Amino acid sequence: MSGLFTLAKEIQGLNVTLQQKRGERKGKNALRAGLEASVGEFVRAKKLSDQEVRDLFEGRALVGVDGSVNQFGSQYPYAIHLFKALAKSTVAGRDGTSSVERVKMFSALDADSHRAVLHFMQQRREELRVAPQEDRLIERDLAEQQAYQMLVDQLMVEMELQAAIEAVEKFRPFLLLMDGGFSRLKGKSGELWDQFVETVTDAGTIVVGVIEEVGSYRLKSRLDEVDERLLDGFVRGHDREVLFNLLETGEWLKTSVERPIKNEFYTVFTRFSDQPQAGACDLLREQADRVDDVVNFLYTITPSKSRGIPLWLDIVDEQARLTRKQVEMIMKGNLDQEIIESFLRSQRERRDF
Amino acid sequence: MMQIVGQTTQLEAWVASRARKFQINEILIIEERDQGDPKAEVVETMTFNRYIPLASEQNQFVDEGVLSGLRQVGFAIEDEEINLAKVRLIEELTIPIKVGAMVRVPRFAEVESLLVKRRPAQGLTLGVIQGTAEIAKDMPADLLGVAPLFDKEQGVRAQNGVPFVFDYRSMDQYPHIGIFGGSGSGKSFGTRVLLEEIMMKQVPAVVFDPHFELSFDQEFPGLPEEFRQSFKKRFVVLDAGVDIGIEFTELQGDDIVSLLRASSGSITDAMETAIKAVHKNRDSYLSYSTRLSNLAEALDNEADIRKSHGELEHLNPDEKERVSTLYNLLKTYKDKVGGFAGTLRSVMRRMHRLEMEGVFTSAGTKKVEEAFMKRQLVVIRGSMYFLNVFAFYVVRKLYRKRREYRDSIQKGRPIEEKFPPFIIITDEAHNFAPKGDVPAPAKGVLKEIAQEGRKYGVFLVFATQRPALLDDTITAQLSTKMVFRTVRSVDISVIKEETDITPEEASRLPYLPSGTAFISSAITGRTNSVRIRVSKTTSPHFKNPFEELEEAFAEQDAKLWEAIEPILPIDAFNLNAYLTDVSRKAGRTLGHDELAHALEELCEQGRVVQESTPFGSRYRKA
Repeated sequence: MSGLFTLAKEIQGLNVTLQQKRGERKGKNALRAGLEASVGEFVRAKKLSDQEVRDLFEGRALVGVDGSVNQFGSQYPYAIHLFKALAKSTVAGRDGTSSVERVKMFSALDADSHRAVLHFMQQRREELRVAPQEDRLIERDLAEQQAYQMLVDQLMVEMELQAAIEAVEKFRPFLLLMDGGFSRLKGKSGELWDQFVETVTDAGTIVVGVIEEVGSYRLKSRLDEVDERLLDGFVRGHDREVLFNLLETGEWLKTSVERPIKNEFYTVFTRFSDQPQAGACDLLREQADRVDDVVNFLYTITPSKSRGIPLWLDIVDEQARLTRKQVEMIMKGNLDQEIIESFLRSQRERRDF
Repeated sequence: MMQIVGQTTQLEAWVASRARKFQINEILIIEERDQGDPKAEVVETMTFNRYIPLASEQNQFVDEGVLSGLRQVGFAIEDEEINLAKVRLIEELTIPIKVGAMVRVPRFAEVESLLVKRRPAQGLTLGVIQGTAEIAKDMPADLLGVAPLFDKEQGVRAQNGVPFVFDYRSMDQYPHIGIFGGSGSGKSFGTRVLLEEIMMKQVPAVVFDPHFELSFDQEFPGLPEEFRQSFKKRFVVLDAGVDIGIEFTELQGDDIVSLLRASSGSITDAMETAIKAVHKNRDSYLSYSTRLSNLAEALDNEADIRKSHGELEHLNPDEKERVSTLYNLLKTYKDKVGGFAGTLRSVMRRMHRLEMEGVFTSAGTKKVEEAFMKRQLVVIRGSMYFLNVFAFYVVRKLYRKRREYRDSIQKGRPIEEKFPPFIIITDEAHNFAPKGDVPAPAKGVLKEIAQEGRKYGVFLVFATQRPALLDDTITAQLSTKMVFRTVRSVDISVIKEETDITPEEASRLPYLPSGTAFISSAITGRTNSVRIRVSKTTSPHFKNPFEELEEAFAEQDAKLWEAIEPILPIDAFNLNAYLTDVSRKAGRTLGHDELAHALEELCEQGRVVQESTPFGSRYRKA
């Protein structure tokens, strides 16, 4: 038990430090003034009436895209990954269905998958932190493992984009919601991203990346330009820390289009629900002029007591997800028990307690 | 689209469907070719919408504005409903049901053998099997229109599923029927339908009717033309003690004990011994009761009689005979009856009461037997206590006759008298054959029939609200049970033990709608949920007693007013002068006080006013 007491002491210490740090902060208003001077204006979003929503969409659909990846088994290479990407429309297409689904199995145990990993490793030699050397098995394995993980991420992004492209072609929606920001999508998909942008532009579809939790680190430098002491009392000054409880419910930070905080996209910061944590939306720069309509609509379809994600994305997310139970059932139903035991069962699962 | 989802066993699975709601008890086919497309019954239904969850701390109910916004772009959250049904296979497999297998509604031909064991022409059509509305669409003509239904809101309505036809001819294998259910559960209604079907098949039957509700000459209103039927020639109603009596000469000492016990509750050991000791074979009521009273007299005057007997030759002839009779009685019976005249008098009092009530007549069961020969249903009416006395005698006599007839055939003896197979039906059966040590005169013979009746073609239909109070041996012998709504937990647990109804079904028992029953039968091999058909007849209408009270008095008041009105004004001091006239017109004799009371009442109602005159008060019309 004494160990736990020691830990508690240490945590209490951290708590005191952080509290002291917070005490040094300037008021909320100073920070808001700083952001207005350097980033953009604070705007109140509006809940749209039914008529306004109809006028905006003109009968076209809303599509949400999300993906899920599940791992079954132990550590690389003794694991199987299952991918599912889903694009779901509020209006059914001509064939009567209202969603596009992509699924894929990927595992280093599978020869084709493994070849893909080796190929990827060759291509991205430089990016891999561990240099694969033919004669050193451990390092080679580590590199392979890293490559595998990167490939998994890339595959997921590709599948999401493919589903999105197909859905745009099929439903020609007014608005397409992606779960997560654009950086990840563009960074991991290469040419596919360009194809995606082309498709949505052709279809006249507005596309938005809805970011639940801001991970960027852009505001600090802007604020420092105004006054370096504005962020006194902040630990690191990541965007999420800066924006925490800064926006009122329904308020958003409309960043300047002329001086965007990301180079490639147009990003605004939002607070759609009672949760004090801010979110963000990525738009294509060419579509930045639609930001007011988009934000108002997203605010309209976000439950005030939720975690701040438009309900449609929550619904898509729920359907895109494979539950733990589903994964186990499909694995156990289709793999022989001895295969599972010899290749895929992790020792952790065998724990008695 | 319906599909097996989740985890399955070799017996049970969940079926999901987006568009189609499941009906409890409906039969579905699981498309699994390797297993021969097994059939399953829906035992539990459920509907949920995962986007409208129960509100909880994690799951806040979504704001209406959000839903409305999504509705405008084409998404209605209400349509995301998912229907689920737990199904249980009719026959177990050896391996679990395949997850993901498609499920469909069967065609009638695929489930015919399961649902219809007999055609309506050869069986008793009791109602409609629940959950078969969809299957019934391609049913052959002879199964249509045989079981219209009834409910309070819509009245008589069309049959909406596969009829439940009870294969009564298989009762020789699986005898006896139990009908359980509380008041208002539709038990009486179900019994009536069963009796109608028995009459339609012209199976002789005898019903004990303590409620005076079983007659079949009033037609149920609003029946479709082709469904109407007259039962006037198919049944007779007999009153216990008038049309049926007990022939005393047929009774044994034991029987008299049973009868007296049933009619008067308690009997002492001394009385029992005395009854048996004094009884002689073929005794008539007169001979037996005379012997008892003589013996009582002899015991009272024992010393005198012994003395007189010593000097017999001095007595006159009458006296001589009396003394020697009494002396002989003393000699024969004194030791056996205990020498106390009070005991004998108690017995006599009890016997006398029965005799006064008309129990001992020579009517016997002749009328029942005549009706049986005409293949009729015999309804025997009487108070519960009276029926208890009679049931014992009637049932035993009829059963013996039938048994003798069958035995004669079996043993190749000459047949004296033909006697048909028959069914014995009784409501409040727990009174005729109570559980445990509670005595009831007919219990013995009923138990015997329960155990051996099928050999002779004698069957029981026992209806009761309290299965828990019914004799265990009999309960165990009921091969078919119709279970209506039951609320008492003791009764539910008896039903659970004695039938193959599932825990899900048992938990539905307290909520079954009136007129719906689970029919668990060894003949069908499974439990069916059945909506009982509308009866063709209805019980004689009894007026609500309170309405009756109002109506009767209103009539009387109206008559009185008619008599008083023309002779107004009436002088209060001279009421006697009007009495004759009013009495004649009102059709009954009124006294002075009654007329005064009536006039005051009329004043209160405002029809008459009382005014003062120099000659006293006077009533005149208002």
